[in-house]
Amino acid sequence: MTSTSTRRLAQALPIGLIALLLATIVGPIAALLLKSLMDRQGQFIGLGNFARYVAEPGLSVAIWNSVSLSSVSTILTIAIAFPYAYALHRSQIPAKGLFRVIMLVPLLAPSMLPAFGMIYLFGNQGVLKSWLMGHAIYGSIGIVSASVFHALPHAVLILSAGLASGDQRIYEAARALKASPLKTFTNVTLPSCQYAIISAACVVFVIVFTDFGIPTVIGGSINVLATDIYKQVIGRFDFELGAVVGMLLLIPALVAYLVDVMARRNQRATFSGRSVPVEPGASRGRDAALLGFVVVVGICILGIIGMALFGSLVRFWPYNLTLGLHHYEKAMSDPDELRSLVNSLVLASSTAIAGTLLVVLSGWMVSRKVFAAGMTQTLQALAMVPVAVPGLVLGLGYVFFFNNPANPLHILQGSMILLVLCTIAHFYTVPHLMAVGGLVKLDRETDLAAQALRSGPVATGRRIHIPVLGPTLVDIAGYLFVNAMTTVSALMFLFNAQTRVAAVAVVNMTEGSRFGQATALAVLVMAVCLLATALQMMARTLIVRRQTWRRPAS
Amino acid sequence: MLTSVTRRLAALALALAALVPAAAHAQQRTLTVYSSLDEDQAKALIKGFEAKNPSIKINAILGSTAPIIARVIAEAASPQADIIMGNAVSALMAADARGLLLPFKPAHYDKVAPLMRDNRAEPVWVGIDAWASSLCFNTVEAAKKNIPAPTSWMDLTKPIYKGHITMPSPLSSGTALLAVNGWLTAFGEADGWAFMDKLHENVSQYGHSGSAPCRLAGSGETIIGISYATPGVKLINEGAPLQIILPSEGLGWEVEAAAIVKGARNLSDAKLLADWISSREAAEISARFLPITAYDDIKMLPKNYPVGESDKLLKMDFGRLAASRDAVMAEWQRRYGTKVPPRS
Repeated sequence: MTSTSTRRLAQALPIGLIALLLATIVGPIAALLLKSLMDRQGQFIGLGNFARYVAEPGLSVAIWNSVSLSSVSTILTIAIAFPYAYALHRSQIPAKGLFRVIMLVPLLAPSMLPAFGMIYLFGNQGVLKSWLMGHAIYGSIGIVSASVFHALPHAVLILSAGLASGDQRIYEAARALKASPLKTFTNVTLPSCQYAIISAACVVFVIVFTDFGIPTVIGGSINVLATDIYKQVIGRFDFELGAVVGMLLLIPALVAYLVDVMARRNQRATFSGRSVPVEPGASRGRDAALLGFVVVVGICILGIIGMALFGSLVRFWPYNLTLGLHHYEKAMSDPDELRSLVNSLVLASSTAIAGTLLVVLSGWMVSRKVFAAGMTQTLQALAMVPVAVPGLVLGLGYVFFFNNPANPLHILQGSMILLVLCTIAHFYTVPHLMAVGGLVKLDRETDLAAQALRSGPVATGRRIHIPVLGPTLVDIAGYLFVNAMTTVSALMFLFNAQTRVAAVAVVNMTEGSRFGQATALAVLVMAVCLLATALQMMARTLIVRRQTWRRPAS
Repeated sequence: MLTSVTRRLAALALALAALVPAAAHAQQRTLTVYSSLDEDQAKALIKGFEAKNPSIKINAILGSTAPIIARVIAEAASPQADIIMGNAVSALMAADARGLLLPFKPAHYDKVAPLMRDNRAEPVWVGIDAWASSLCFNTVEAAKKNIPAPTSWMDLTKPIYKGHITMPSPLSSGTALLAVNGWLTAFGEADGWAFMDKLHENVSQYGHSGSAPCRLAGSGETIIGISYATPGVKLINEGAPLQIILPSEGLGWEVEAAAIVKGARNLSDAKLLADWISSREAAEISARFLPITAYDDIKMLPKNYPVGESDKLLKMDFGRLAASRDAVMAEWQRRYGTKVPPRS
């Protein structure tokens, strides 16, 4: 490649990427925003719908529920996720690979599966009902525990990116200065992953705040803002008010973005050209405590999923506990359901491949600041938007934006490509943060060295940044794959007879009272995801093993 | 390594994509049908129609009542569906009010029972079947707690049922609206709300889905679910210890009907399906799943379906109920949507 064509490509890259994100994220949301400012006849009425919504009784209760339940869930999630990620990256506990996989399990199943598992465990017929001491699982307890379960892997992934790369030399310096382990932790470890903690907290808060699946299944009568959208759009066909709620749900993301910007301003590179990866030393007390902790968390996760798995094997919970593959046979003998599983595989593979490519590009551009500051900031802002957008809102936005004959992209309507684009957009933020988190720690020196060697930004990206990011890259592809396998809400308005995916089929089966078959199909989806995750682990190990530079020369 | 993984994944994706049949076969005409009929019933009807019209392939999207109509409304700018083969008339009216349905009088329209058709000068819908609200009652859990089976709606306000009743919220479920409209019809406006005030004291949770209360009763999570018969019948067939109770004061009910979508791309085939769905042949297929169909002389009772549903249907003023839909929802939200019901 000649240097001019390289440069031209380098200029076209960010513009192309921004255009793509505008079309797949901003366009649909803008279409929805417009909707929130219009009346049913399409006349512009300014903030009339917002005024109408504020006058709704019960709004303040819903806002309070949303804020308080999301806050409690966030604190609990981070409190569990941090020690877990710490154990995976900064200790010598055995079977790290196993615990890494267990932590991914909540991501691997359609969200209804853990909700079923929790009901089997703690519902009125639940085997552990007495643990709730007379309280019902349906309500705040159910929402918080299911939310923590659901958000935990996201938090652990982001925190892992922060904890994975540290500098061993600083820890050696701390030891030389005779700093206590506690002091080293508070003065070195915590500050170095402050950014990851803030990112994780923001992401978790927003995930819980905008999720409507959990409150629907296990929330009892508790009203939250996210379920209000459902009521407005599905119950009353009031898309204008639904759009208003959608806009309100974007507020936490806006706050999260500002917090993120402020955190980034204080972020200093902690991983430089001379960095040496952290090699956690032996500490029997610490490792025993951490091992105990991850084992307890692991048992909780596996218990909930295992209970759901058991539910898929029994003939009829809780009255006929004969075990067998009855529900699996029935579900898989239906060609429509079989096809939905194949469709899910197509969607998930395409999302993983195309999404990883895009995320790595945007993460690289944001973290390395190789392009104009304006472009970098635009990209970062765009990448932060999707996490705030509830799937139902994004899906609706897609219908309004793409199912419009005036839009040249209208041809995508009804195609698998649109489902792929929507899924990538829906899950863009976390992988983007993972990519940024993995790269932001490389200091400018490496870039300067690359410049001195006359390596263009693209070549530097290829030769230095991509290899450094290698393992994270595999994690990103895995994350996108499993989310695409399990997501429902955004696709609810987009799929058609040819593109119906398995997670949607699970919802249909549940509604059709084919409860056992729904659980069985959800378990099959989880099995596919588990297989994909095993592949991901193997690829990760291979990459790390081949990258000899990761080990200090000895 | 990485590129080879990516390449392998890409190859896998391509191989899988090849497995998915192309959107349309060259020779076959396709028809896009949205339906919220019972899944088995919808599939049987589709099979019946395709057998009669081998050159037409139906692409169906099945879903719950409200999401299907929400989808039709969302797609208004460029309709994707040709025909809605079965959705609650009250929900169809919401689409009709937005001008999204095409007036059409199917071939056998005049033979359909008068209650089961639109009856306007320019009819938009023709009935397929009717569904009514009912109670799903878990006999095993009730026996454990010594709770008698209720026989009337009024029974549900007794203290013994406190915390044992689950119902959907009418703000998100057509099934709940069916029940609420039934109570307002059976008891009258003022007494209807007074009844719901007392019922509220006994309800443990208001959910979002119309079939969920019956599912919760089927798995013993609640003892009484206010729902409709079809999910109960399926659960009983699967082995749930359920009894479907049709309360004595009468049942709120509604017609599920077919309507052609304005702007349908395959209009002539959509009309063909509308013609067929109004036929006796189609009604006989529906009768395998529900007792009340478009032809009232077809008398069949599906296995485990409760006896006497059609005799208990209330005389409902559908026009007035459709007009008061928003007001009823707002009143419900004001009374029960803002406070948490007592814990069980």
